[in-house]
Amino acid sequence: MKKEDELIIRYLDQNLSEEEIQILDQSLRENSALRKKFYDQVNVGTALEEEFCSKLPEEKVISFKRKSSTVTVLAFAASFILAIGIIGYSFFNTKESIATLASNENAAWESSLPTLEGSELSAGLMTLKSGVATIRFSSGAEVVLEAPAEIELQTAMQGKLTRGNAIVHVPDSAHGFTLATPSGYAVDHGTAFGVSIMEKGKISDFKVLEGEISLHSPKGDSLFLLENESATLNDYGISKKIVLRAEQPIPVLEKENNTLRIQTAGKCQSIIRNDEIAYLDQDFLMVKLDTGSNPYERRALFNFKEDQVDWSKIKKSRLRLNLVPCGVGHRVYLPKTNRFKLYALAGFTGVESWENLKWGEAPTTESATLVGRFEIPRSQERGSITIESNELLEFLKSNNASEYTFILTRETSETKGSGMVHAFASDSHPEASGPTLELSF
Amino acid sequence: MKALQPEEEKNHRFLNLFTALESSIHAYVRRLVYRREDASDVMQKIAIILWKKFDQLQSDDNFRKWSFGVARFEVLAWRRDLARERERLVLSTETIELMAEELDRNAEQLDLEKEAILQHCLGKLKKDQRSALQDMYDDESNTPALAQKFGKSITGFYQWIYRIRQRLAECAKQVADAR
Repeated sequence: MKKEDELIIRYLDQNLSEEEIQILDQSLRENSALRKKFYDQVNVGTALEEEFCSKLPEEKVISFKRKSSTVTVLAFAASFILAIGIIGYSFFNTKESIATLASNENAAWESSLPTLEGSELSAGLMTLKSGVATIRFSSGAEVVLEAPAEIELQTAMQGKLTRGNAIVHVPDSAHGFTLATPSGYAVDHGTAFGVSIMEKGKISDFKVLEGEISLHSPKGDSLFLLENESATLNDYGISKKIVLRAEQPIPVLEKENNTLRIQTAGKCQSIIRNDEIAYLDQDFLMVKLDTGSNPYERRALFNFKEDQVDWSKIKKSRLRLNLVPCGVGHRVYLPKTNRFKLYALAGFTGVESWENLKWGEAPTTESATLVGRFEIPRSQERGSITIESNELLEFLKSNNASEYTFILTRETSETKGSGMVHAFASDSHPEASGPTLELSF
Repeated sequence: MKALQPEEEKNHRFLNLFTALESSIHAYVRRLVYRREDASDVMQKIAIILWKKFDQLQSDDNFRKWSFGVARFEVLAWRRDLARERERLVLSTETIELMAEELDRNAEQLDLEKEAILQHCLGKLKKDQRSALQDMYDDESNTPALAQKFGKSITGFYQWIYRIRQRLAECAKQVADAR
């Protein structure tokens, strides 16, 4: 078998090195007989595919991400025909909005729904990682959530709280609003009640603040609760009512005292060693270590500035990042565990403009202090990463500055070229929050 | 027959034209886009563009030429995106354009040969030959393991697979020419 023939078959098996692809490329261009052999091989391939690959119902979904809404389009042979067959079918079928995010108070979210204050929300799951937020359903019902909490928005008249604490306010327009929990649901017949999910969803405590609600357990029993009464839903059903005496203060959601959350205000950027900006994306903070001379190595930099606090009085510090998929590179070309390093610099680092920052202009890790490390398994696509180390706390406390810049690098490389690039949400990411620094005093 | 509204009429026209060509466009794309999952994505993009721009098409007779043109464009866009991601592990634009042109011209012939393979030539394969070809389409398998399974070196295995496929192509040409 000739050398070029072997290159063809290995190309189809995605098993060629850079030099080999270039040889094949040139040979194909110059040699029309080789191209004919190539066409024959790929044509056989199309036949084999039809023969061997299971024919799944051709209903693939394409998602086009726009800044604040997800657009879903159905298109392929059969389903394509079906879609067009429906007269008046709107090609871009936006999901119906059932609620709005009325307010965010130092809130850090994780959700595929938009998370900026004022956003329209459709049915979906929202996880509040920190802070307090209010969601107003279009029926008028309002749910105030305290982190950590997780709520599933179902319809304008129904939501499901799977974790955390919430207070539900229901005006007349939304009487009958239902809040489901893992152990049952509550239907509002009055104006306000509090819910607390404990024991990983096994116990749901309800307390009526104003008005009346009815509780329903999966077993079928139900109980009417009046103002100031509370009860618990669990696996066994509904527990007895506890009537509170008037003097007892109504328990308010416990907020963490004196916690300040700072974001980067746009001062977050990825840099790439070869400065080819086409390989970066504003929505992501990209991190990668590649092989060889690392032309595609990327790092993320982000900056927090706060003049109004005394950094030396911090008791606790926490940096939160949201890991998000960015679709660049192959997961399988990464080692099973990927290790990351976080460095910090105190004070002004000389970076005037955060846009189009070049590799050579950015501060280096050599001049910075290592303040944290973490690992992400290669199978993990998304998640909230929290760094809370002594090194970080000490660094922030003892440097007498009101501005801190962080450099995030990946310590582990890839096993083969075009391994996956890790990405964390930047401030402009449409779904997840950018880096957040939390300080407790 | 009930008179169709203009919108319905347009839908019917598009569907008639598109479904007749869909398999051929898919095969064309597949010959140029070497990753199966990518070929599917490219196909969907093409379908959407053809639908969106259908109004701009002046004559139904041009549909084939037009749709292959859109397909070629999308294949090149795929190549560009892949080049960014895979960093030089793709064929050059010149080569892909050259091949796209030749594949377009020969599309009908290749489609006939593909049918011949499916309906006639595959049946002539020996059991182990068919098994080896099939295993290569198994997402779970990897080539070194397969080579070992069939008792060959990796190079030897690739040679073997190449030859089996070549023989299928030769058989297909004989059958297609005989028509």
